[in-house]
Amino acid sequence: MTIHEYETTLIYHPETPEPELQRITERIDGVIGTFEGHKLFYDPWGVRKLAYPIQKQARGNYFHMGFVANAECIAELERVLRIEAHVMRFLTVRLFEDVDLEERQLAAANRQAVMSADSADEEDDRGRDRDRDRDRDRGDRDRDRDRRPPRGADSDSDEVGFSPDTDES
Amino acid sequence: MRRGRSRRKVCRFCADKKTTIDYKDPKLLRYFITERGKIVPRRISGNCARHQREMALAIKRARHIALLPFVAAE
Repeated sequence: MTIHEYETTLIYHPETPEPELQRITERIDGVIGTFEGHKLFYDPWGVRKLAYPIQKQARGNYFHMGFVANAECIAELERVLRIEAHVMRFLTVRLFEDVDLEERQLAAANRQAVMSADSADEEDDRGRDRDRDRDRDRGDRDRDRDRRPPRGADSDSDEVGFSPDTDES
Repeated sequence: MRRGRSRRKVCRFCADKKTTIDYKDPKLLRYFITERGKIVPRRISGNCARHQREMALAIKRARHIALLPFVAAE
């Protein structure tokens, strides 16, 4: 069976106790193990504000992970996640199709090395020691700071206040 | 010559290969949605067809995991 590289983002209920989080993580490990998948990284983003309420919660505890597995594994994983009451939402994305496990593991390790080198410079990382995600930002801190400027006096027909010339090049 | 503000002629993702479109990057994606939360059309964003498709997909994924709103109150 062909294996693919996936990444899954989970949103836990913000008040999920730590032992529950651990239990669910282990359960995920178990599912991946059963189907002979391999995890590449686990990356808890922590509690952040949601763009809209989910299950009446304004916040969610995000958890992001990457792994290599086959399609059956994803079916089972998602079945399990739907059952887990503390998981409010999840999204699985297939990143690369028909991958070579060792090559992907190497790539993930490299990416991680680059990221930890990057985050060593930053140091404002809310108690997280692992920041391996490309150029993602913690959007809830300065979410509105660099929004587009309000629509000016331009009366051009279909301008929607979008100014494509804000940056160089 | 176009009326009003001059617009970028080339897609910014084609111009700068380093910027990748990632659904986990709400800060970038926010440039491509309106205040209301709608996806900005190509004719305004200046994206090429390929990158507009990627952008639309990324925005929809980001909405699902509540990084971006489906609708935002004004």
